[in-house]
Order: sequence, then C-alpha cells, then structure tokens
Amino acid sequence: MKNHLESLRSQKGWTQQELADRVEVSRQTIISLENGRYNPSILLAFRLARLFEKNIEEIFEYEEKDKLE
Amino acid sequence: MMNQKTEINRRIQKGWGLLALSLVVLVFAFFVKATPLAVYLTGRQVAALALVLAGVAVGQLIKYTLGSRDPQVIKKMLVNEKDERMNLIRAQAGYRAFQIGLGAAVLSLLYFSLQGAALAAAGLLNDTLWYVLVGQVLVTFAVFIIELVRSSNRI
Repeated sequence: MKNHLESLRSQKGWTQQELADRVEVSRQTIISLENGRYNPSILLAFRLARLFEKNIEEIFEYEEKDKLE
Repeated sequence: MMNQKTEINRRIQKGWGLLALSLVVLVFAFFVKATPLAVYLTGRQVAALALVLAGVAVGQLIKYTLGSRDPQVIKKMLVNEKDERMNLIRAQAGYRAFQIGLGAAVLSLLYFSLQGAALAAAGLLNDTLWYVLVGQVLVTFAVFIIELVRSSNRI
C-alpha cells in the first residue's frame, strides 16, 4: 500500500519522533510506515487521518497488488 | 497523562501483590513437610519458587517506581508496550515459537511413548527426559528470539 506520510509530515515540519509522539506509536513504526513495509491498523490510519486533517484515502492508497499480500 | 499515571500505579500495585504472594509461598515452604504435598514437593523447591516470584515482583517495582518519577519515561514505556507494529511482531514470533514448541512436544511424546520402557529399564529415563525438556524450552525460546529479530527487520 502506497502512502504519503513522509511528504505530509515534512509539510508540517515534524520529525519522525514528533509524529510518533502525536499518534502514540514508536518511531520505528513511523519509519516502517513511511518505507511501506508496514500497513497500519484501521485505528492508527484514522488517528493519522485526523492528525493531518485528511481522509484515509488521501494518505493511504490501496493498490491491486495488496490483494495478494 | 492521567491514564498513564493510573496504569503505572496499577502495575506498581500488582508488583506489591506479587511480592506479598511470594512471602506467602515462602512461609508455606516451611510447612510443606507437614502437608500431603510433601510427596511431590520439598521445602527448598517451594522456597525457590518464592524467590523467583519475589525477583519478578522486585523487578516490576523498580521498573515502574523509577519510571513513575519521569512522565516522559512512563509515556515511552507505555507507547513501546502498546505499539501496534511491535505487538504484531511479538504475535508472529510467539505463534512461530508455539508451532515449533508444540511440534517438539508431540515428537517427544511419541518418542517416550515408544521408547520410555526401554529407557527406564536402562535407568536412563529421568536423565533423557530432563535433557529433552530443557531442549524444548531452549529451542522454543530461541525460535521466539530469532523470529523477533527477523520480523523486526522485515516489517
């Protein structure tokens, strides 16, 4: 699943640790999310969407290949 | 913040509870000889269990009492414990360790069912059983740790 977390975070001028603190996860989770190695739970996706004042689909993009994962 | 403080206080209380339980077990160690359980347990074994419980309790108390002095430490501790990625990694590693541990237990059971009588006749049953049990514990633990590291690098 593609996502725009890194660019959204950069726009806000936050570090990975600051974003992690705001959504109450570890910095490693933010790194994995930004690298596309980890897909968030629906709750974390909502928290991120609320934080960036976006819809979930504006942050995370579902791709057809995700069906196979 | 208040929730975090409450959570830490709850864990400190649990630590005290565990310490109290260890004292009860320790007291029981002195009287175990006079109970029907003496067939299965010695006072030393019960005392050893009490010491393990006390060690865990003291560890918990030190961790959370020292942590509770610094709100940042509390927050970091709780975030790391509840971090969903880390929980996924732990769950995957635990599941793999469970599979391997269960497989090893089934194989051991089969082995001792078929070979137990011969081992007992040769006076080797107890030693073999002990080494097999130790092996199972070590293998299961090793699988858990290896899977933790592997999953942490992958996810």
